[in-house]
Amino acid sequence: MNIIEFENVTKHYSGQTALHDFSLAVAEGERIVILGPSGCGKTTVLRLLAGFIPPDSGAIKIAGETVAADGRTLKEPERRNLGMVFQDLALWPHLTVKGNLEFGLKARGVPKAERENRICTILGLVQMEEYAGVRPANLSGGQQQRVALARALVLNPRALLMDEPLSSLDLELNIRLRKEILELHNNIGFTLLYVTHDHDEAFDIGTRIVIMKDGNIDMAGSVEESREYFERTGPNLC
Amino acid sequence: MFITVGLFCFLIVIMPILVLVAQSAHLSAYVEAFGRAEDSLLRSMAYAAAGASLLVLLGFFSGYLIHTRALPFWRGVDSITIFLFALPGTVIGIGLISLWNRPWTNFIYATPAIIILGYLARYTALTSRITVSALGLIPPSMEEAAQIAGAGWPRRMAIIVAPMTKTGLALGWLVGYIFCLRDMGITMMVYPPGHDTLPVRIFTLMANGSPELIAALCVLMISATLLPLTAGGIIFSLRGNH
Ligand SMILES: Nc1ncnc2c1ncn2[C@@H]1O[C@H](COP(=O)(O)OP(=O)(O)O)[C@@H](O)[C@H]1O
Ligand SMILES: [Mg+2]
Repeated sequence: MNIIEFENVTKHYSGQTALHDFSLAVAEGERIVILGPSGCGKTTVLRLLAGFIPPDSGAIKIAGETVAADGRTLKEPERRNLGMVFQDLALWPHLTVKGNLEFGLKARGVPKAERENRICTILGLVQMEEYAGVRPANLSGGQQQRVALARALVLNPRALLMDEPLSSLDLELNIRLRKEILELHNNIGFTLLYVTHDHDEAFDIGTRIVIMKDGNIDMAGSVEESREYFERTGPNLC
Repeated sequence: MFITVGLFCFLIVIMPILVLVAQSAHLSAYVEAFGRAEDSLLRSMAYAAAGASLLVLLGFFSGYLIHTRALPFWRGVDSITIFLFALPGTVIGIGLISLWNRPWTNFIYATPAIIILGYLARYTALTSRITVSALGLIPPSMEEAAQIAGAGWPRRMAIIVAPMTKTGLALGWLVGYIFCLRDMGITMMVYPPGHDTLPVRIFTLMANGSPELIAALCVLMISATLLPLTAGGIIFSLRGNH
């Protein structure tokens, strides 16, 4: 079953087209990577799905339910049950790691005992148990990444959206965190929409690659197919 | 150059205060000042504190609206608050009188609530604008992350946005307090009998009070202004040292 569907979605920003007639279906458990150069509309896809902006035309569906269509938001971001790791991570600096994870659970009315349980489990999965009482500013870049991941996943989202989450890290850490994301995926089995402009990252993470160009999909297919695509078109997409 | 500027500042800022302090340098002047204006001093501080608190609240809402442009009339809210701030207090006072001086609104007009209402009408631009600049310092993703985590607007404000702008909100409170405390225009127009504030009392006592009394009252006024400023300064510097 498709957990996410974009149907002929178009989005303009003050006259400029960011997304044009964009259609995409994501199956449950899939790891989709949206790959493309800066400015091609990748972030716009995620922000439309999250509900921060409405599409000008077309429809967006989550688990079969239309959440936005033709310029209208039908379901607010806070009721879409998605997880997101922002490019700047957006960890709340005045809350501890535990406070960051607990916020969404409280907002969703999860009882205290279950909150503790879920926080403990997810912090174990990202190897951050000892840091529950620490504020984000006192963590390393990699640790902050793990907390941002844990904060999104602790809510059991219907899909996890990640917007160039590793772009600010050095290559070694970048590669290690790719592995960790895949391990988490093996353990929990979430649906992943992962945005990047980096080919290697895309091929490592994705089960399916969506290559974007100027607000539209240029090609969508397996890792193999996208490798062939780049051999044909040349690698200078970025 | 610096000496000239320093001398100039000394002449126009420090000297008048020193003169007031010197003039009132008798315990008897302060005893009399307390006797004749203690009630309005306390009222002044209470009204200013209440006004500042409500100004922070109102300014937060309007500042948030202006910052996020969430509703189409955000620009109108911004212009109106700034316009009201620019108007002389007496004009707002007369407006308030003609609006509220009716038998069925006496529960406001005959109580200090009308003074607070006047403060809100006139000074919201201050806390609103301070909120706008404080909000400008936090990335929009902070609130978006809270939103996607499932939090509605009140929870996002209470737990994420307001705590992250708390320095700005504290600053807004201090500025609001000072402007309410020193307000003359509105207060003089609308204060119900027996509810005058210290600036108004000083003004009325000036007609026949002794210079020592007036000077002592002014020093009290200065202290009431400096009290929260000093407290705020100490808190800020203590937190800065951490
Ligand atoms: N808030 C905005 N206002 C105006 N133009 C925008 C805004 N956000 C994005 N754009 C434009 O839309 C296009 C797509 O942007 P974006 O989705 O951020 O691309 P990407 O994430 O692939 O770099 C770009 O040309 C960008 O300049
Ligand atoms: Mg982007």
